[in-house]
Parts: sequence; C-alpha cells; structure tokens
Amino acid sequence: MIPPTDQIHLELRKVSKHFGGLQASSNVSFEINGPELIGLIGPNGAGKTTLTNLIDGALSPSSGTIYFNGERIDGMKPYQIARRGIGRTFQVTRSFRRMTVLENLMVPHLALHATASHKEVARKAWEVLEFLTFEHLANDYARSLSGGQQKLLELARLLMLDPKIIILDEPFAGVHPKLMETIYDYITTVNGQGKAFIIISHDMDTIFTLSRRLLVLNFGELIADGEPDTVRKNPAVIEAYLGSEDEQFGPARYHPQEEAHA
Amino acid sequence: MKKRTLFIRAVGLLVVLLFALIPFAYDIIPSLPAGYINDYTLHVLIIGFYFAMLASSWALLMGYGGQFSFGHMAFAGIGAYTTGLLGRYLGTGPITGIIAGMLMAGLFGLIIGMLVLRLRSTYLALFTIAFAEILRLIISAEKDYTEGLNGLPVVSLFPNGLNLGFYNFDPIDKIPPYFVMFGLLLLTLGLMSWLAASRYGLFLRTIREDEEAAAAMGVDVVRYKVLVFVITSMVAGLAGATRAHYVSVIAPNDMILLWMSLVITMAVLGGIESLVASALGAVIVFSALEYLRADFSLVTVTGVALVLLLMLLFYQGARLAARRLLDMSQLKGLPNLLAGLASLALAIIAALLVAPPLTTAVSYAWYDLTGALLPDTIDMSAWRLVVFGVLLMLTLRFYQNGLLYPLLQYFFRPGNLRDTVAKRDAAGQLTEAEAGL
Repeated sequence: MIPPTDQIHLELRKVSKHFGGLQASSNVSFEINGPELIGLIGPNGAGKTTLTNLIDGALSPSSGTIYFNGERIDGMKPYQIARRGIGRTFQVTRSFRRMTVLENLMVPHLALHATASHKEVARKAWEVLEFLTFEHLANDYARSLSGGQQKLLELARLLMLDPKIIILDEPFAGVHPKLMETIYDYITTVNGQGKAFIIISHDMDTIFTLSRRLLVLNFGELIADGEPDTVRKNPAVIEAYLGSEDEQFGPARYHPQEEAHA
Repeated sequence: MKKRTLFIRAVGLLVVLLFALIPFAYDIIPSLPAGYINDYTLHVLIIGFYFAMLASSWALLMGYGGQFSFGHMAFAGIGAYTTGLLGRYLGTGPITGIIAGMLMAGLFGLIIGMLVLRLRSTYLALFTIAFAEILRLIISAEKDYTEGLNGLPVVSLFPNGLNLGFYNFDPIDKIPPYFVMFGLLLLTLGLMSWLAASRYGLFLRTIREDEEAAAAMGVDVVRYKVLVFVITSMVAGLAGATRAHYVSVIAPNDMILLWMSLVITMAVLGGIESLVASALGAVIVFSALEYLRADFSLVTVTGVALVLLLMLLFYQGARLAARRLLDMSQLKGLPNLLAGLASLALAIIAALLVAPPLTTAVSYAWYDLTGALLPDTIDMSAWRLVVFGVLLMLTLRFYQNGLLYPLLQYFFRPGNLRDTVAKRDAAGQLTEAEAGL
C-alpha cells in the first residue's frame, strides 16, 4: 500500500500524445505544488480532456514523463494512479447506475482500504452524504437520480476516494444555478481542506472567479499559465479564442466592458 | 432488520430441507399416492441441480460482472471431458477426475478471461460462441481419443454402490447422486453468494456498470474480471464433471448452443441479478421441460394459456384495488400477494368457464374452414421449447429483473422497496422546490 502523505507535487515534463497524425498534446510541462485551484481552459479540441486522461492514466503519453510525489506515474494503470491520490470526474456523468447511492460511495473506499470494515465505510459514506445534503437518497438507485444529483454523486464518490488532486471535467455543464452554487461551494470548501483541483470548464465567468491559476491549451500546446488576470490579457490567449470563428464563447467574453466589470 | 434476516434464513433452511426430504417422501408420508416421486423425479431434479449450478454461476458472470458469455456450457464440457479422458487413459476415479475437471475448466477460464479483457458485450458473446463451437467440433473430430459423437463412457459416480453401514445403496440408486449434486449446488451457491455479498461482488457490479469509472475509483478491473471468469468456469467445470459421472456417458452434443440458450433462459427467467433466483429458475424450468414431454388435451392447453393471459390482465387492477383498500406502508408485500392470488383465482374461474366452449368453437370453425378435424391432444414435447422461448422474450421485454427475483425481493426485503419509494417521493418534492426557485 502507498504510505499516506499530505504532500502534493505533480510534475509534467514535456508530455506529448498523438493519435495517428493528430497531435492532441504537445510538450506540455507544468507543476502543481500544494493545494492549488487550477482552471484548465481552451477552445474545443484543444486537448483538455486528453491532458486529464494522460494524468489519470486512461492514456499513456507518446513521450514525456509525469511525476506525482516523486514517483513516475505515466504508464501506470488508472486504478493505480487513483490509489496514489489523483481522482477525477468525467465530462459525461458516470455513476454506477444499477447500484444504490450508498454502494456507489462505498466502492472507492473499499478499493483503497483492503481491511476496512463495512461499518467503517458506511459511517464515512454517511458523513460525505451529510456534507452534500444527500442523506435522503442513500438507498436510491443511482439511475433514479436527476442529472444534477448524479453530478453531486460523482463529487461525493471523489470525497470517498480521498484523493490529493481532484480533476473535474466540465463540472458546471448543464447544471441549474442552484446546483452550480453547491458545486462551487464544494470546490472551495474541499480546496480549503488541502486538496488541489484541476477544473476544466467552458463557463468563463465561473472559471475566472473560481480559479487562482489558469492553464490555457490550444492545439495541444500550453499557451499560457498564470493568474487569471494576467492570462486574460495574454495576447496568445486572446488570439486563440478570437482566431477560431466557430467558437461559441470567446470574443464576447473578452470585451472591454467585461474587463471593466472584472 | 435482525428479524428479517432470521426470517430469510428460516425460509431458506425450509427450502433446503424440503429438497433434502424429497427422496424420502414415501417414508415420511406413507399415504402419498404412488407414482408422484420416483427415480424419474429424482433424475429430473439431479439434472435440475446441475443446471442450477450452471445458471447461478452464469448469473454471477453476467448479472454481476456484466460479461455476456456463451461459453459456459463449454466450460462444463471441459470439466466432463477432463474427467472422462483421465479416467479412460489414466484410470482415475470420480473424485480425482471431478477435481481435475474443475481445475482444468478454471485454467481455461483464466485463458479466456485474459483473452477477452478488452471485448465488450456483443464481441464477447461472439468470441465465446466461437470458443464453444470450436471446442465442441474438436471433441467431435478427435474421435480416436474422445469417441466423438458416439459418446465417451465414464465410470459411474459410485461404481460399487455406497455403503453407509446402516444402509447399502446400489450403484444405480438415485439417492447418493441426488445428494452429491444437491450438496455441490448448495456449496457453490453458498460460496458464490458470499462472494457476491462481499466487496468483490460490489467491485464486479462496478465493472458491469462502467469499467473506466470503476478504474478511476481505484478498482483493479483486470484482476476482478479475470477472477470472475476463473471462478464461474470452475463451478461450471465442477457441475459438468459431476454430471458426467452421474449419466456415465458424455457426448459433444451435451454442449451445443441450444443447451447454452437454455441456461440463459433459466437465469433470465429466475433473475440474473440474483444467484438464488437463477438457481431456482433452473430447477423449475428444467422440471417443467421434462414434465411437458407428454400429450395434453386441447382444452387444458387453452385453459392454461387463458389463465396466464387473464392473470396479466387482472393483476394491475387487483393490485390497485388492494392498495386502495389496504394501507401499503403497514402491510408491505401483502396487497400485492392478495392481488396476485385474487387475479389467479379470477383467471382460473374465467378459464374454466371460457376454455371448453372456446375450444369447441375453435374446433368447429377450423372444421368449417378446412374440412379437417383439430386433434384432441397436443404433443407438448414438440412445443415446450417454443413455450419457453416465448416466455424468455416476454420476460426480457417486460420483466428484465426476471420472474422470481422480484418476488424474492418483495417478500424477503420489502423494506428496501418501501424506503426507496418513500424517499423518492421526498426527492420529488425537493426538485419541485428547487424548480420554484
């Protein structure tokens, strides 16, 4: 088993991934030190999901290395990386539909702790359910939950995994405002408890207010890395968003009026 | 909670006891009319138990692990031919042979499990069909070693009978193999149920639901997937090898796809998400198949068909009425039970009234139309597979949880259902409140 540690250090060194002729990630290098709150943005097809898949082991890089807390993790299997403390959600919610909410929550804890008793796991699951005000749904099948509730379930499951870095793929997509607030609070609270976040989002307003550091990808390359305000003014970023005409957001978001508002 | 567990155990024990006492029915109730329980009954049940082992292990593989395999019968065949060939060429006895058969099936399960790791649903099904057919064809073709389609003779389970001290069983006596097969069924069912209830069962279900999500939650998908193939193949091998020694001759036709489809039918009708339900389904379906090998009068067949049809029609109405009249939350499964019984009684009365004139009318109409008489009886042995085929289709369409599993759930775990319904109502209100915001 992996010894418990509070340390968080993720380092990507010149990570590249290509699918045939398509360069989905090229020479991406960055580090995460401590409980940072990072937004990962970029136009459609910029390679955001590919990058998260590379970090969580669903894909292995064509070249480059990834270190987590001093250990090389590229080439490891997803479950091994999950056990070392990197948890993720998916762009499309992926709950275990024909299992109850409680069972959904028990899975990661039991997978990580070979000797955990059922009682201990159930107690921890109830704590998480209370944290997300979800107790009344404990015995419901996940498939009977609404879309928003399934999102919350995924977040709850992540808490049970108790990772050090949490990757959220589009947590705000298709979510009504009330739930958005809940998820926002979840992120800030859990981040305050010492967990790092990487959040992919198309919701520019939210991601700019929420994150304290932004990574911007375009055509698989990391074109900017810094505080939101600096990134906003970065010409390469503006170019990336203005450059593609079929982008549904972008130009409007960077209108001077918005700048003044911020 | 405690009370319910006790109740479930008591009922389970009662069912086990009932099956254990069947061979001694005439010793216990001497007044029982002759001919109900004989060697044929025991034979049907022994083979029924064999299919119960196959159906329940397939339910673990498919219902829990989500691995749609057509190869289960082939693993049973591997068990059977391992012990058969070992006995023929090395002279091993039944016990060594059965253990070897089980291990060999497990080894093949390991290989197949590793080969199909990346295959999903349809591709897995096709792969396992190919595997099963190839194995069957190899055994048929290598007739110098396996006797091919002529069948390979295998020593009987108890070649010299069984001497228990107080009683001496003949080699052909059905009681010793009955208890061997029943014991093995209980053993494997117990072990598999324990596994399914443990964290292993939980992980298996996550694999069924979503492999990538399971891996992202730290579940070692590969390990558990291979393991479920090994375990279920071993159970199938054990069943196949034991049956081989019971029937004394094995042939490649024991593992044709028709039998595999039958195993699937048994598990689906019982309920693939429950090992016990699929085992019960197997015993019931196999017995029904055997006892349908007879001529039935046209009126009886019409009547039974009417009863089934009318019950379906009456049930929903009766259930609504029962729920209106009785307080659901207090009585748990009772309204549904009453509704079931009421609709059954109504259906039987209606069928008794309607079936004879209907049959007569149809017969006359048939005569008028074609000038030929309808036969008085129908040979169901030709039609029984059709009946079960139709039942399978209806179950898959309307009751994907199977026919027995919901019943078991209803009477043994009514709390689960009630909680969920009540809590879903609460959740509904919550969503409404949120919608108002």
